[in-house]
Amino acid sequence: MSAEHGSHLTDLTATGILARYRDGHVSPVEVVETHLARIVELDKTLRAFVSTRADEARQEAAESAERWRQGAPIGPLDGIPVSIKDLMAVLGLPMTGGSARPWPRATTDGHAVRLLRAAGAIILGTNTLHEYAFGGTGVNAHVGTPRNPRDPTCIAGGSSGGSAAAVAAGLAVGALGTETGNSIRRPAAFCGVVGFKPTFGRVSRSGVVPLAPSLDHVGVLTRSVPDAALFVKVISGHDPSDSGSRHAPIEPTRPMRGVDGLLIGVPRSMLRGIDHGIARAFEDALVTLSMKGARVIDFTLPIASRWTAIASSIVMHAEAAVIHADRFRSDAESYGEDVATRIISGQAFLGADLARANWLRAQIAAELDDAFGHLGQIDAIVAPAVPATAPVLAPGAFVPGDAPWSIEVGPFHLQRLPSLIGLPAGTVPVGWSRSSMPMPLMAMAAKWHDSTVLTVLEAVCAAIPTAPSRFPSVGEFAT
Amino acid sequence: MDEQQVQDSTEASHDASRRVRRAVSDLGVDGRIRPSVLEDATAQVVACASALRAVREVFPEFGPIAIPTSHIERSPE
Repeated sequence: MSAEHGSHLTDLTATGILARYRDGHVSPVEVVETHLARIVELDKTLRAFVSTRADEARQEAAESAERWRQGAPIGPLDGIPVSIKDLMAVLGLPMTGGSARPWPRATTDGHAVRLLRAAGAIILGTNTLHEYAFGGTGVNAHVGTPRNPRDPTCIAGGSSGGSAAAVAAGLAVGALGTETGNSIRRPAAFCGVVGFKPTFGRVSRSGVVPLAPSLDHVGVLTRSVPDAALFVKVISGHDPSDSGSRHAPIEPTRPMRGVDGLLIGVPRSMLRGIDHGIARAFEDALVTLSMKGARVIDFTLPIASRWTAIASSIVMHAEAAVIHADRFRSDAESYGEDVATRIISGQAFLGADLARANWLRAQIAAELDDAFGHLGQIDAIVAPAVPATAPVLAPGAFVPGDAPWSIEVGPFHLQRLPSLIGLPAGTVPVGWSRSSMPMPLMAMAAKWHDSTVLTVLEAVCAAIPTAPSRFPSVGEFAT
Repeated sequence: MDEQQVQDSTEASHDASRRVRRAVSDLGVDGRIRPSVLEDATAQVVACASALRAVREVFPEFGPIAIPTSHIERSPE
């Protein structure tokens, strides 16, 4: 192997790897082999993968290498090794959904997985997650708890924790995740990678184990913002088999001239209880945006700042109770206590509760329409993505700042807001703590303006280092 | 908490507990759920009910019908 090769290949972005394929400096065989070797080396510690498909990936890499040799790549991700959250159907692999009761081997790919494959991506395996994607820690007694590659004594977060850990540690170049509350952005924020959730309806959920269908999204975790744009472009498109799928009026990667001239809103009154380092990194990012020509203003969201979490929690729990009714009836004993609790409470909510939650959801959507529309003219909203860095993995681990039933003004409402009303949103690290933990920013924009979010994230993104190749001692933790 | 608040809190807890028992029955899992799960679910229902009481206070349109008298024609004497 040349100096280009070896572990350095696991530091590269998809766009960087594709450039090297084009130049003939690197082959998909080397890239896939390097990632598979890193999985073998590190995943005993990280627990990012539920299953791998090494033999198939090697075969596909050889085929991809031949296409590149002939100058005829099959699509925009030809030869890029990726991984998939283990609640999406991947042809030939069993699917656990993070549960103790796996589904049989899939006979076809889920829609987004199929589009990734058609673009040439090579699937290395499936990633660990919170049970049924119904929780924020990623702690999972059934399939293993993903560790944070920046510090394996800490959680990767959930629910797409394995996907975030895999990308952060250089085990996959990109990954698919899902989000019903904050399940792509939170683990991405904790692990220091890009997490992006497109507008509701842009990416089909067909072939994905549902949690709450009016809130569920498919999105991506990557090593750079351009990679996120590339992946989202590939997996976007109307799919009649998903009733939530829409014909998008605006392309996800519509070209933009940077952030110059954009009006960026900061919901300052909601930013309480933020870790000092994260707050400082966020303020530095605002300065960066201003220096690049954006106008940054403070503004308020009186309804969203109090009522987002409760509306999101009621809708999520109630829909999950419907989705899980049959499975829970037949196999309640296999469910973890936290998920069982949520399903039972969702069943216990009344029609009146759901009516009020849906009314709040409509009020919040209207408030955001005003902010983005003629009343506010705001192009994007930015805030710290999480109030604190990833907590230590321990029995009873909880997500800092998470308050699903609170109606106090606080930053947790911002985390649930994009999924509740279907806005595009993403997160990037904008700084690193002294202990190398990421300090992330989140951005959101009006429906279908995914490209605005990506543009803002690109403008503020700090360089994303791959996690160290040697990890500190993990110690003994219950999974 | 004053006496009324204690009474309200007790009633809310009892109501939530009834709703959770009913939910367990509706889900068909009677006798199969650990007590700690039932307690946690009850706590979530209580928290939800408390938040939604605040919704009714802040947004009167979601309370009982209360049309301002200025909007209603006086009934003939």
